[in-house]
Amino acid sequence: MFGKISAVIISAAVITAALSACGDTSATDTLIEKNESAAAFVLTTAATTTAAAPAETSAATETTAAADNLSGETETDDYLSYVPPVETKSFAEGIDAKNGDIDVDLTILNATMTYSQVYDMMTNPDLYAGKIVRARGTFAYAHDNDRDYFAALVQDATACCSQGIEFVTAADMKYPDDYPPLDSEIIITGRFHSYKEGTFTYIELLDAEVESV
Amino acid sequence: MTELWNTLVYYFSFPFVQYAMIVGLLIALCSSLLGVTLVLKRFSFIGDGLSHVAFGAMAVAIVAGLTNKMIIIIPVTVLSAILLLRTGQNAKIKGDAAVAMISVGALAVGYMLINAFSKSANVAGDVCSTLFGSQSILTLTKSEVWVCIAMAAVVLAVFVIFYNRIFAVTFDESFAKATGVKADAFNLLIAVVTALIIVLAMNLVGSLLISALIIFPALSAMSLFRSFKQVIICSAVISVICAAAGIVLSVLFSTPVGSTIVCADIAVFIVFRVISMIKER
Repeated sequence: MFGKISAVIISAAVITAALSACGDTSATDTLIEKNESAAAFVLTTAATTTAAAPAETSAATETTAAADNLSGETETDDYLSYVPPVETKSFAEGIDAKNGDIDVDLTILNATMTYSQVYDMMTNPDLYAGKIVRARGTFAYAHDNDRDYFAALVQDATACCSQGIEFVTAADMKYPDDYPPLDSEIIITGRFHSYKEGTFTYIELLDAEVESV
Repeated sequence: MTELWNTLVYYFSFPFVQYAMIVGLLIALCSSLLGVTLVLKRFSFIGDGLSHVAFGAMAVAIVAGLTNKMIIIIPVTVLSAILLLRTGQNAKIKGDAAVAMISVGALAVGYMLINAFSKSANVAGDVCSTLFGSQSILTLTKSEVWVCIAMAAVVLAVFVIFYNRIFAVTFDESFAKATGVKADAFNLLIAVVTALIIVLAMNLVGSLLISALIIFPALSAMSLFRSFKQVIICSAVISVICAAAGIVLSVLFSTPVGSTIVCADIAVFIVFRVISMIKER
């Protein structure tokens, strides 16, 4: 928070410093106001043609760049027809993703919303502690420090950013026999929990059930 | 259609979507106000160059592991804006060459730093979200929203208070200087405010698409209107509507936020140009 406040102070200080060098301009203001009221200044043809032409060139370049970056797939499936249940109850700052017995059901959200919601869960883990969460993602496995890590990877709509939700199954399962194939799509349901390793906070679902999609 | 509307209403009950809309509209408003001045003063490409500098600064902040990256991004971008404008008058490397040099230089160094030193496991994701915005706007915290509101207020205040002088400097620097305005200082002020807007807009559309946010609404407005005030107002309205439409569409259809907003701007630009051509016949 201190850093953010200092960012605002820095920007305000820079603007103030720049303004202090602008001098007394009251004479100009008066002249401009007179001119404006007498005959509204117009964008002269010369100004438009000389100044706007190069800008149009760069605008065309931007058009190409924007078109190139629209390769992300658009999802227009049944997410759009989802209507939230009437008797839903929010539990944290207006978040309302309850669906039956599930407190936060990420499977009813589209890719953009799911990614953003998972990000929110990572940045505000305390709000979700103990809640029942259901999520859809691709199955991932890692072995580190003599420990097995299982996760569902949730990707954003452009598939360039992904976040993992770790899970620990309720049943005693052996890897790889009892687990789905790597990179296959799964739905996990479990109790939300977060833990810290070093400076990083990780989220996981405990007592999880895994379903292959 | 009703289901689509219900889904939209439902999605807008999420705080991060509300934050995205607030910040998106503010950034669109600020960028459109300055866009007219920048386009008329042929500063369009400075915006592009500064956005690349901001990317380089963000790369440094990521490598340094800073939680608040603004501490590095704002001073570096503002300093670059000042250098570009100041050295542009006296230096051996002038104008567009200086902008291009700083632009590609910062981009290359930034990308190299992220790849070589980033501790993140998702370098591609970091680069993607910095360059194209990706989902950044939908992952803002409440404190980041407040910072954005404060900075937008500063930018709007500067524009409103100094509207007459910005107007004078935009159209006739000689006249402005003759009447006591330190035109160089105001050019500097415009560059500084531009730098701030670019830093703000990185979250919305990413550093590669920022220029579109500055240029398109201004050019669209200039197609139909002639007076400075009309163009400014029209540009602001276009920019805000396109940003709102872009955010709504991207949330509903899972398209990239930045690209969707820019596409909306492009569509309006084409429509306005066509109307302008019809009117001129």
